[in-house]
Amino acid sequence: MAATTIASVRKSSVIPGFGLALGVTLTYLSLIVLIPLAGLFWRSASGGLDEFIRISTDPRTLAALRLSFTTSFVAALVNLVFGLILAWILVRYEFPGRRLLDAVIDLPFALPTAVAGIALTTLYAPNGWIGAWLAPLGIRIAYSQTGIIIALIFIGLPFVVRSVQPVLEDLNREVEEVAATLGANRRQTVRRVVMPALWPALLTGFALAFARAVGEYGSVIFIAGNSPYKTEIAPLLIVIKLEEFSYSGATTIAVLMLIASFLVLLAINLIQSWSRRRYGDV
Amino acid sequence: MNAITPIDKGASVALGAPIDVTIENVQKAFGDTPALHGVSLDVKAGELVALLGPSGSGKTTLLRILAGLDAPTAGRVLFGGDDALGLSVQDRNVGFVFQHYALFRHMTVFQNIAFGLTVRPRGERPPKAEIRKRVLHLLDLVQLTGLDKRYPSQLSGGQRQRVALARALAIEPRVLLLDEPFGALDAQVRKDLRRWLREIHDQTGHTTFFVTHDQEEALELADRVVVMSKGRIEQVGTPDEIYDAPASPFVFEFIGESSFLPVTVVDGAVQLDGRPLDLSGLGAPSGTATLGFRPHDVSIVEDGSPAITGTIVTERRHGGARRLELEVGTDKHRVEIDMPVDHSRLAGNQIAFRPHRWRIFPR
Repeated sequence: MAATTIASVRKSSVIPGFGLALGVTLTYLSLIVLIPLAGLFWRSASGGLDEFIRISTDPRTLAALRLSFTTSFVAALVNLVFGLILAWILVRYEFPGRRLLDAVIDLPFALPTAVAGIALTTLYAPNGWIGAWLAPLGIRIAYSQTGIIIALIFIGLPFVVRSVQPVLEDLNREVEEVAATLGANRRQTVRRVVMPALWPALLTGFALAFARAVGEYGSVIFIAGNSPYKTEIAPLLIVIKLEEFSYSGATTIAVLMLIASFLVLLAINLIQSWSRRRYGDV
Repeated sequence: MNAITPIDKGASVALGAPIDVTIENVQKAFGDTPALHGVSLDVKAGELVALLGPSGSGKTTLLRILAGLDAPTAGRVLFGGDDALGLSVQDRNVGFVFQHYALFRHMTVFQNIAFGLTVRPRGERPPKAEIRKRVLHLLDLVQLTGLDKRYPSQLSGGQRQRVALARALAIEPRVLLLDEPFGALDAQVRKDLRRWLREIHDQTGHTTFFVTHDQEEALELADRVVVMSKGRIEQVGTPDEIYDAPASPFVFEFIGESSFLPVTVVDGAVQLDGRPLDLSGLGAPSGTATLGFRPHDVSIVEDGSPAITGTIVTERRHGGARRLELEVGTDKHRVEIDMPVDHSRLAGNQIAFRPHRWRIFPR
């Protein structure tokens, strides 16, 4: 069945090289992604089912996973809002320094995350520039979950901006103009005309920022304080397990993270393809 | 804020009586680049007016100023005697249709058409049943009955443009503005929609402006045609006036097919290279002038009477006639004339002709 499909595609397609392209893609994907992940699953199973269940129901594991996913979710949510605002300003307004600001957006990509973590900790620690102002108010950012979220916002910022920006640039101004001639005020136009067009891109940006945050390690460990059950993220717990030579423990947590992340990303992807099928391209 | 008319139970489309539109000395500049140099125009209620011109002539700019999407640098626009420039786009109550439809792609056809009604403030919004009734009526009017649940991506270009028009009509606009409404459609659909738009206009009676660069479309569809060039109005008139009595060489050339020859007018008669042509100067003063004529408005001269003589350069089939390109006079000026297909073959490649309808533009 599959073979005939491939053969018929090859015969009728005007774009040659389907077989070759598919072969290269699958080989590449296998070497880079699939084989390492399969190894991960195999290694996590090596301790047996009992060991797997013991580690995955360990309160410390569960606390770390919960922390990782909730902080990542909150950070991605914050990035969703402010990333949209940033993209909007970059696309819709002309102002001096716009190009510079545009370039600055990508810095979190380029900076080693540990550097970011150290810089943020220095700022937000109780004796840091910002932390010193907040400490008398009883607000503690470094060494708390808030600190983790701030680090995750930092590293996730470019994703939403860069996913929304091109869509916003392509957005047809005529659609907004026509809404105005039909009597819609600015708020109605944004809510009913602009936002629905941006949702798929926003979701993509959210998914990327979320996925990146779940896997983030370098910046968080400096600002988090890393106390078990409270500010210990799952990637850190994996490293701790490795240092204890508990390879099956490390891989078990990794597999749990992988499954959870995969489910979240799959859900977002399904929402997107549903909206694409529904609205199509006009 | 203009008054919102109560919704008529018969779900009719037009709102009250159509209004006059007056444009007084409207100017527009984008930075240092002038786009309109003092345009004035009076349009009667219910008229269907074409703004015709090549790209860059300012026709779309004028349309956008009428809609309130752009503000003029100077001048006045009156809707039914009231100043329109003081009103925001939202309050101006105009229906605007873009060349590329500008439909809301995440909304169904129904939601698109209903949009203008559903964004009204709660107190002025018609009840749901009334909106539904009106949208379905409009769908009938634009001949898209039954497609209310489709998304724009599931429609053809012609259907999309009809949805765009229904959406504009739904708000009971005082003026309907169409920016190259058929520009993105293929030739056959274009012709159908042209006829159909005329019918809709006859039914609804809105004062309508439409922008086009297609002279055929303008002449066929409009009550009056406004020919524009380089930010100025060249001529305003009925299609007959524009075609038969063009006011300038620009209009003559832009509308229909045309040939031009540099001539001199001496005592009310036309001369070419110093030889009389037996053509009247049509009242033009003595001096140099441009003779303009349509390729199909010529007669072949074979009896040696005064005529324009040329050398045939190319010859090709053109509809029901044979189109000849000639080199005329000492300057080898090129003109085109039509010759009946069954005309006997000519000896040699010289041919003499005389236009039987022509225009003289003093230079």
